Amino acid sequence: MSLGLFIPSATNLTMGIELELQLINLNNFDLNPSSPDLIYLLSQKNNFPGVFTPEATEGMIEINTTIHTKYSDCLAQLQDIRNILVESCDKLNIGICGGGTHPFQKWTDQKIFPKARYENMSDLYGYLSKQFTVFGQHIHIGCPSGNDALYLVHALNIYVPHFIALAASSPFIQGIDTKFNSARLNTVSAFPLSGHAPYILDWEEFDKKYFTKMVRTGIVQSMKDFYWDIRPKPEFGTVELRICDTPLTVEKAAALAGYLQTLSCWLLEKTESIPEEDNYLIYNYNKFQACRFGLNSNFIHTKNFEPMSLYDDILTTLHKMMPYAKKLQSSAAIEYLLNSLEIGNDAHYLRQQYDMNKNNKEAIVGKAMAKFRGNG
Amino acid sequence: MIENIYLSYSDLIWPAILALAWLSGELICKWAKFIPKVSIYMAAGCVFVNCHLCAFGTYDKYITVLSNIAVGLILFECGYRANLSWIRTNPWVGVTALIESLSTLIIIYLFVHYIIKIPFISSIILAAVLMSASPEISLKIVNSLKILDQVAERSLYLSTMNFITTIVVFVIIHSLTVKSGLQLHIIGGKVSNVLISIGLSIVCGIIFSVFIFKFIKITGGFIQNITITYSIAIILIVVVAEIGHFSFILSVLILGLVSRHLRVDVGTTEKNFGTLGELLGIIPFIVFGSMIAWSDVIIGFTIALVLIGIKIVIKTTCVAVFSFISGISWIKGTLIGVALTPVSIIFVFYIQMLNENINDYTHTIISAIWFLNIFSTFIAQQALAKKVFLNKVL
Repeated sequence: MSLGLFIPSATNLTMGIELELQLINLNNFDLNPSSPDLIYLLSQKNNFPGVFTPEATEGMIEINTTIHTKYSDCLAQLQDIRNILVESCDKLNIGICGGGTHPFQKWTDQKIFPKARYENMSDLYGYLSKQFTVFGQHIHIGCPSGNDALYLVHALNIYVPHFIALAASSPFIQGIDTKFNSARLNTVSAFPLSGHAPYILDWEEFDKKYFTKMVRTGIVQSMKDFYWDIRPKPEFGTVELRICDTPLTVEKAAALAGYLQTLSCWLLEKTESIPEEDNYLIYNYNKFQACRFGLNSNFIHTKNFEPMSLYDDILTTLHKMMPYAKKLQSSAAIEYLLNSLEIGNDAHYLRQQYDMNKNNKEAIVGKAMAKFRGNG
Repeated sequence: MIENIYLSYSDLIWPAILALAWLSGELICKWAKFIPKVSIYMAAGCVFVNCHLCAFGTYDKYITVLSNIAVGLILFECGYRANLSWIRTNPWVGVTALIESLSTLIIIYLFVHYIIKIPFISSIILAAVLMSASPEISLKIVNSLKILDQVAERSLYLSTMNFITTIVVFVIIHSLTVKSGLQLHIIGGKVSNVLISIGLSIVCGIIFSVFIFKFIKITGGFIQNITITYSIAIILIVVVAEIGHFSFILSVLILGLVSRHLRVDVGTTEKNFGTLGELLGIIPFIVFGSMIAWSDVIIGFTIALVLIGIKIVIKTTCVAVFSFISGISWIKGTLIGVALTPVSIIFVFYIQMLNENINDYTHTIISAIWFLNIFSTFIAQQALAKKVFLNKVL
């Protein structure tokens, strides 16, 4: 079995967003297994602007935008989706919010969504499936060819800490402060096929040598079975970045997509040195730093192995991206992220709320719901 | 005085009944999980009384207080779960509650008054009993099955709304009967007393909720688990209401409602008030069962069965009709309607006080309805549990 052709994206550098969102019980602010009810209600609407799908457990729902070339269109669609979701949840007396983890849900209380894919996943992974009740943002960027997609997969690896730190919104898990900014990724890394893609830059080699062999092992059947941080998606003609926590607002989700689009535009010019396998020597350490300390982390530079401030590196890169952002009409996304660098990431905001509300974890969920609605 | 210190063998009866009912619930539900525990507790009370194994004795007053505290704990949770702003964001839920309760009241009244020829006041009382759904039974089932979907949420919401509507209807009946000289004693004595006692109940609930809200704010994170805070508040309300001759039922409902809307964090309150709630929660169901007289059940059984059938049809039709417009499938709407079948056990105490004013035939029908509640609870559990199947279908 082969992956087949990489179907190039119709327009270069298109973007699309997948967001996994939390469904909240308004009585106790815990996760509420109400995705079947919400999906039923959404399916009755003819005007839903994107796509909605169930997720592994019933306290989650995933929404996808359609394909966009411009950041402003993507943002507008996300805001429309958000408004319809909020209105539908109000109708069902449930809450909805972003955030990479729910602060105090117990994974043992979660229910697997009654669908063959998730039930099979539960059979295979056991308790990991319920622990996988974490919420991420995936961003797709359209690529002109399979080789470009693989190039981007490996070129983007040094920017993975940027996205982790900017999107981090999971400081609490199972009722405790983890001291991490993004505790969600620790849950993802428990899966055997997580981590980074193998260092292959040629699509044919990736398909024929790597993927076909993996299929023969019986471990995987499609690209969906790889839980890599960045993976190619040949059927969509995209590269998918999967390491972001779901931010608290759709505005930030759109800004992160705008940043990735701009960064990809610059990287695909291939003016920088070709990504090397050695970049992965420090990949996991840098990832840990970004997860643990967020914007305040020090990461190891891939070339000179010197420690550097992640905050400074993001700031420098965002400014460097401005001309490309102007070309792609996504300057507002870069501005948004520059501003969020000043005020801190969502993990910082949630900790602030926790302190201000005398260590009340329910208050954090309340604030997250208000933020998602655009009232925070 | 010294005599009162010593207990007689007869004083062992209630603790023994409590133990037997609990044990029966545990054993039977181990083998037949589809039977609700509360059905077993009600059946146990019914069997023990009718086999002359128990009667209210030395502990009457204490058992009643304990039972009231248990009811208070359950109703507090029902009040806390009733999100009033839901009516604003989805008015069709409120419309459904109103239509299904009033339809049941009117149709049952017309049926029993004009077809069975039951006198006016007795007909209205019978209709009000059947109009009520049981938030306490719904809550027990929902918590035991650990379900949180729309069927569970709406059946709890509608049964709480039904419960409040029934209280209103009972107050109206009381006013009518005082005018007609029937001397009913639902909540207080005269009409003015009724209004005063309702006012006192509401004020008491509000005072307690505001006090707890301020208390928790002032103490900050000092009190980590507020299960005990609310338990003590409910015990106090029950006792204060007893002394002040007003309804603790309204007070605890108001306590729950206001606490929710003040957004008092009760997240650390254990579901069902933990072990305390589980233990006390057995008592009102046994007491309820113990008030069912077998001789009455036999006489009123057939008509009670017909009336419950009519109730199921009306409630189910109303909820199903409004299901789509209120955001759920008609299948789920139907299940919610069926889940509203049990009548509230809490009104049993009021009906007991009305005994003298209800004609004998009506009394036998009410007894039979109470008896059938054991089975209605089973029907409600089946409706609530069906959601697992439904999720696969939809």
